[in-house]
Amino acid sequence: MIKELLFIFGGIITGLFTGITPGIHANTIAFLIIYLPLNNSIEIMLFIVSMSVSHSVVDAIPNILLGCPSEESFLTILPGHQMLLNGEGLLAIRLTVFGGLITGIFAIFLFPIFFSFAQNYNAYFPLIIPAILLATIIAMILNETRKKEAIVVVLLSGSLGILVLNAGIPNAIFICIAGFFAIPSLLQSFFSETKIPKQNPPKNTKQKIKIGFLSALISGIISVFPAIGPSQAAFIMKKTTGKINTEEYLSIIGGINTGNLIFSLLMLYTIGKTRTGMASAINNINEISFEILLILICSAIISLGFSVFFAEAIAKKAIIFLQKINYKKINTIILTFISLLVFFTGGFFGALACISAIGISFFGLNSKIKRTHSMAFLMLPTMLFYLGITL
Amino acid sequence: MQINTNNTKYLGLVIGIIGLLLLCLILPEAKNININQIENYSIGEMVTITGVIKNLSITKQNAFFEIENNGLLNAVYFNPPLNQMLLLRENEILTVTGKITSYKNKKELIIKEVKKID
Repeated sequence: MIKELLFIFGGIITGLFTGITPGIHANTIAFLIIYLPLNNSIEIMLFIVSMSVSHSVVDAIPNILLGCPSEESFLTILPGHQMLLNGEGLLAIRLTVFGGLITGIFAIFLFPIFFSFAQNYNAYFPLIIPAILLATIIAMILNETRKKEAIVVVLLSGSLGILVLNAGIPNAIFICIAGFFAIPSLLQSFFSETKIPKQNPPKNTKQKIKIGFLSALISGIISVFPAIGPSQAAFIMKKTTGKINTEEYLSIIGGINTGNLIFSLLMLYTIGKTRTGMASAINNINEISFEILLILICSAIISLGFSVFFAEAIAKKAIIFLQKINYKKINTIILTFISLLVFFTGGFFGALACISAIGISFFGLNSKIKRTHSMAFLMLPTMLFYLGITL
Repeated sequence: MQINTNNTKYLGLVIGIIGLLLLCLILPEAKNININQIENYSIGEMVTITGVIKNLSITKQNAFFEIENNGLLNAVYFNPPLNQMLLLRENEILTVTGKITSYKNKKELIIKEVKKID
C-alpha cells in the first residue's frame, strides 16, 4: 500500500511539474518510463495515471498565463488569456480547475453507461465516426459569418493534416498543434506588447453542477469517437444546450480534458482502444483487468483531488513570478523552445509543416474566423481513415 | 443547483481523501506464502511466493512455468511486458505475485508481476 501511494504521489508531483512547464508533456515522461528496466508494472501504471491527471489539471496555468498550450487544452487560450488581460487570470484558472474536478466526479458515475455502450455498439463505431465528423465540420462552417474563409481554412488545414500525418514525420500532432495554435498565439502576444496586468483575487463565482455532468457526458462521447476534440464538443454542447458564457466555457474545456483521460481508461479496458497518450503508455505495459481498472481509477481520483488542491497556490506563485520578470522575454524563450522542439523532433519536414500551419492559422486570424476550424487537420485524416481511404 | 467555486480547493482535498479511502478498500493485499500453504487460500486471492523457476516455456508471448518452494505450483504469465519477460529464466529465484485460479482441478497462479529478490 505504501509503495503504491509513493508511486501515486510521485506521479502527482511529476504531473504538476510537466503541467506548468511549457513544452514538456506527461506523455513524453510516460513513454520514457515504460522503456526503463523497471519491473513493477502496476506501480508504473499508477504513476502514469496520476501524472497524466495532475498534468491535465494544472496545464491550464501556462495556457492562460503564457498563451502556451498543450495538445489537449489549447482552447483555453483565447477566453482564458482575455480574462488574464482583464486582471481575472486567477479566476480563469480556478474555473478551468473546477471544471476538471466536477467533470472527473461525474465521469466516474457515468462509467457504467459508457461501458455498456462501448461494449454493445463497438462494431458500429467505424460507420458512425466519419458521419459525425463530417456533420460537425459542416455545422461549424455554417455557424461562421465568413463561410468562404472558413471553408478555405478547413480545406487547407485538412490537406496539411493528411500530408503530415501520412508522411511519417515524428511527433506530427505536436507539430501541427504548435503551428496552428501555440506559435501564432505567442507571436500575437509578442507583437502586441502584452504585459500581465495586476491580477485581482478571484471573485465569488457559482457554477452550475449540470456543467460538470454535461462535460463528463461530452468527454465520454469524445473517448468513444476519436478526432472530435474539446472544441468541437463544446461547439455541439453550445448548440444543443443554448448559450454558454466564458466562465462556463472554461469549466467545460477544463472538464473535458480531465474527463477524456478518465474515460480513456474505460475505453482501454472495454474495447482495447488507446484514445490518449496515457492509455497508450499503459497498454504498452500490460493488459488491464477489471481489478487494475478500479485501482487506476482510484489513483485518478486521488491525483485529481490533490492536484486541484495545489493548483491555485501554484497559479498564484506563477503570476507573482511572471509579474516580476519581462513577459516579452519569457514569450521569446518559449517561442524559441517550441520552435527548437519542432525542429529537433520533426526535422526539416516537420519545421516546414509547422510553418505552413502558422500561415494557415494567420490567414484564419486575419479573416476573423474561429481558430477551431484548424482542427480539420485531425478531423479530415480521421474521416478518411475510417472510410478506408488511404492516400 | 450551483457550487461556489471558492470551495474548489477544499472540494479537491475531500475528493483526494475519498480516493485514498477507496484505494485502501480496493487494493488487494498479496499475502506472502509457501506453496504447501496454497490449499488454505481460495481461488481469486492474491498471493506472493518466492521460489525457483522450473520448466519454463514461452508460447505465443505467454510464459508457462512451475515455481518450486516447499512444493511445486504451475504458473502462467499472460503476455508479460518485455522487462518482465527478461527476468524469467530457468532456475532463477524470483518473487512472483498473482491470483490463484484452478485449471484441471489443480490450483495454479496467474501471474501479475515477477520481481528479482532485493
